[in-house]
Amino acid sequence: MSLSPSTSKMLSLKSSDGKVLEVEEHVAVLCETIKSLVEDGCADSPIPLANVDGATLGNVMEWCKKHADQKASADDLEDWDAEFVERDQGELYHLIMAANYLNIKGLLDLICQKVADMIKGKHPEKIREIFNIENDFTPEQQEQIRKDNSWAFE
Amino acid sequence: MTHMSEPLPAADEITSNDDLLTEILRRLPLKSLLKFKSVSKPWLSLICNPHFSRRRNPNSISGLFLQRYTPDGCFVDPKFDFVPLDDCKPELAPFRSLPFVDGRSGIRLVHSCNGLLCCFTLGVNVFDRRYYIYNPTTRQYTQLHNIRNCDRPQSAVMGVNLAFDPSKSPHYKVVCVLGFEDGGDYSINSDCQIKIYSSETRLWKISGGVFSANRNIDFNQGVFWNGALHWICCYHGPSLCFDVDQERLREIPMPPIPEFFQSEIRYFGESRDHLHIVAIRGPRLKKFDVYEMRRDYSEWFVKYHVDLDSLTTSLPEMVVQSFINPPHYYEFGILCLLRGETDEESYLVLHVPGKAIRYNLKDQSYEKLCDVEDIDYDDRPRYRHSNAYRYVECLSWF
Repeated sequence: MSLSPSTSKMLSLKSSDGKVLEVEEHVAVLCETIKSLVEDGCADSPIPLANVDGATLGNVMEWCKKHADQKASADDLEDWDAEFVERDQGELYHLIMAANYLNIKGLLDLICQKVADMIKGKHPEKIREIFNIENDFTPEQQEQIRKDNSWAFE
Repeated sequence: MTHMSEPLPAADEITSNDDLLTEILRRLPLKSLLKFKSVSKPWLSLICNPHFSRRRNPNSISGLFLQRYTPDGCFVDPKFDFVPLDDCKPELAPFRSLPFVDGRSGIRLVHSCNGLLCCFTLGVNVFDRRYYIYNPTTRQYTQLHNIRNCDRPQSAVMGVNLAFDPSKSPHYKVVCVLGFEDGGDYSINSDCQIKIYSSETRLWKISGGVFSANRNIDFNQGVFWNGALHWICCYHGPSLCFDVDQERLREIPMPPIPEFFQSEIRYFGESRDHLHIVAIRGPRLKKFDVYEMRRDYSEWFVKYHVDLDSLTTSLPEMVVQSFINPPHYYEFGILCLLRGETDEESYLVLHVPGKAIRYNLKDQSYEKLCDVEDIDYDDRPRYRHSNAYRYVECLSWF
């Protein structure tokens, strides 16, 4: 089956909140999940994507469209990606979930790197705040870990 | 970032999904990871899990520490050279000296195993030696006490080896071989006994009875593979294998190399769960075979035929003229053999004059890893596998 831009077949994707997005097939198949549906001939229209909301699906398809563009150079994509990840935390988390669900390795790598850059070097207390994590250590355990890894806290 | 302090529902979904959390955390620098161990119990257990380390460093070995000797070959320099094997720069070496001991009289690394190092300080005499286990990733260390204590007097420490496989157990063991000198006995064998230290119990225990071992075995050069330590005897005697959990010592075969006593063990080591040996007969030749041991110990088979011809052509400094036969020999030390996921990605790390290089075993290409100047009194590259110690990132704690 040819997935080249020239065929330019359209696929409909339906988000969890019922929004329907028309996307060119060669763009949508950057999602491995959608690609296998297309290859197996199961891409009934519209394809329901129960775990991705409309706004996030729009963002994901924007990324796929850029990365499906044969004319974009590597430098070009790098600059574009750097701008693409400039968004608030909530959107980044939704993109991670969507990239994971739709199985888009490039996008998952990009967003995970962005989140890692955001949290690196931060104090553990700040990390708990960012990710809404409960501190389940006793003060003694906490102190022991700190002592065992003291050079990292310097 | 305006929303930084407002936790979001999607954040919970990510942190409760180990695969996604791993995807984020594996990209962090080491220092952040050590700090984030104290975020919560699930984070601690994820970061310390060996699966996480493997995801973070798929090739596992990040570099080699090289033990330097001073030109007279006696004093052991407390500073180490570092050969980076992944993308890190030599200046990012985890350490160049060991800060927790007084190294003025010298420090010797004796063994490395899956992220842990064993070293001792040189004292005025051998009884002053202090032994340490060090994790260069977390910079934790512990001193091994009572290493020489034994029922029989006049015991000498013949070798100290680590047995550690974080994918099987978070605890390590130290296997120490003690030797007993019976005055005036110059036989080829000496009486030995094995002692084992467990990091779980923090105790030493004697394992098995006294056995006789060939004096040519270097008990500091043990290789941990298949749950056992392996010691090679290069002349006139059996090589040994000690199963650490079952505490069973037995003989293992040697490779089918004719006139083995004339050969020199140029490499003995493990990679990706394979045990390899290189023995080169006579002068330093550029063609040699790498043997691999079958898992059932039935035999060694030739895994790679190596011909360094293309390398010696592009690096003529490796070629040394000789007045005897053969007219040339070749200067190189094998520091390490590392298997890739496929044979195309397997390579040797060699010390050639002036530098350490990575030599691909399949396509015979090479790349320079870093400058290594150290040479011996004959201007030859000094480093061998026997003074190269592996650096493997190990985030576990003990």
